[in-house]
Amino acid sequence: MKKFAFLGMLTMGMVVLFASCAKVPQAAIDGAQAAVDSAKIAEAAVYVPEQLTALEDSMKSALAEVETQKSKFFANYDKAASTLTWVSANAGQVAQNAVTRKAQLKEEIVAVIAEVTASLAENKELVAKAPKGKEGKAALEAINSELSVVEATIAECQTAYDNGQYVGTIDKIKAAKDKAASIKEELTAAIDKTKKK
Amino acid sequence: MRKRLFFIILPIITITIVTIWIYNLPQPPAAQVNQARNAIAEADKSLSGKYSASLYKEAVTLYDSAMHYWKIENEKIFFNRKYSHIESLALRSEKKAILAKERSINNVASFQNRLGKTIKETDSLLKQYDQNFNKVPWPTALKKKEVRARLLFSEGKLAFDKKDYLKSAKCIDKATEQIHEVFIVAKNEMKNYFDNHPEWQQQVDNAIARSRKQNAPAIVVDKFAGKCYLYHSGKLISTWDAELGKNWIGDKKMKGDKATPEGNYYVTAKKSGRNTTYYKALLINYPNEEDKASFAAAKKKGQIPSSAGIGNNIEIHGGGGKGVHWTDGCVALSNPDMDKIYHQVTVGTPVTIVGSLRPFEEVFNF
Repeated sequence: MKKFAFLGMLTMGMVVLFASCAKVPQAAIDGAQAAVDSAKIAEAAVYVPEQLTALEDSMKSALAEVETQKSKFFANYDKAASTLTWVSANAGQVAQNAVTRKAQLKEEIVAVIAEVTASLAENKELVAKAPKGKEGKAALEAINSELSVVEATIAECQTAYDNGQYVGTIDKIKAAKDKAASIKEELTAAIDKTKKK
Repeated sequence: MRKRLFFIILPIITITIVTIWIYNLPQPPAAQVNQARNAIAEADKSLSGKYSASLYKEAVTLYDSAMHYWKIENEKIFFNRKYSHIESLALRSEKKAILAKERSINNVASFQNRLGKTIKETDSLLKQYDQNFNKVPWPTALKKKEVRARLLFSEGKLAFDKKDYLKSAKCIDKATEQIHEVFIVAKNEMKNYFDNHPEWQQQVDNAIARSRKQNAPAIVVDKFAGKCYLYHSGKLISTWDAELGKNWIGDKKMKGDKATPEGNYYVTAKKSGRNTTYYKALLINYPNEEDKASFAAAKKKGQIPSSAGIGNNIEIHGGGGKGVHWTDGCVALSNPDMDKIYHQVTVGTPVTIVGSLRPFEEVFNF
């Protein structure tokens, strides 16, 4: 009987011991963290901030779940492992989305710079084509100073682009594009006036 | 029998004690930590990281600390774990996150209101600038500053439309400041120029009175209005559009400054055919004695180069009607208008050229 009681207590102790020693999914944690870090390296914070935030929140949730289970006698890491798998799988997509968005933005900036540069050249051509008399020159001098500001803005945007600053540059070059378009209108009107007799 | 009973009861008592003990062990702070994390997620959605950065950072730091200490506690043997300080950190994190969210929402609303108002005001200021000063030949530096400010303003408006209020504020505030500066410089320049209005008014009144008295024609040119008026016997009989020297604001100071002179002159010759480049012309006596005196004084003061000439050949001539100020300092009328004035005036007809017939307050709409 004494032996029976001892064995009973020993069995209970073993159950408790093994139940509380379920394995922490460390590989999954490390993998998910590495995936999140990869998304950060891909500048997800800059190009797809909401997606990165969701990813980080899930990662935090998984880590909290791990600690919750670690605090329990009968740990079960299934839920945490499942979240970590989701994080790992989605982090790649978030990184890819960031790369895509960055590429789109770069393309957009290059296109707008090309557009403004072409518009500037067109405007300069219009200035050159304007009547050679002093009246034409006088009317176009103010426009020339506007064109020089647009030209300087293109150069600034190109430098920013070369330095990898894409997010702030797009609005700047778009503003220059609008200005170049309005100068073209102004210029055409001024030339028409000088042609008028 | 007693011994047997003891060995049956012992495990039961032990299990009961252990169960009660385990049951009474401190519970893990999962609920509080989850609440803190959810609050941070909500704060994130409200862009607290951007618009309430310090509070948001505090919330995140407190959460990270809670997680850090929870991990440390979990390393300890189960009966030695304490979670109260972790709960406290998580609670503080949650409170900060809630506060960060509220503040972020307020800040966004405040940015929206303030920037929306500033954009409206600056748009209105630019409209005023265009209405009042667009045709004024400003120095290149001022013109460039104005264009740069306009570009920055457009950039700020694009950022505002994208709800990027921090960037928008940076652009809009700087652009607005620069636009105000340009506006003030322009306004002050005009105000200084229009200080001469009483004198201009007097000159024009005298010219009209003389015309009435002598029953003769008189020409008056209002530079700011871009008008040429013909009076006869003191009565206004014709008004024409006039185009001036491209630097038409201010008096003519020297040869080549492309300014139209201001003062009392008279027609010295009537030219037509091969004698004039621009259809028909009325040559005036620029420089008169007053111009010569001003020129000499300016030269003496070093306001103009010592090698500068005073200039001549200022005319009222044809070739105008282009809608811009383009001459080297002459007054240009359209050829049909030139025909009319040419036939109504004679050599000796007074020509009064003034900055404006109307005072500053009437000309400018601020």
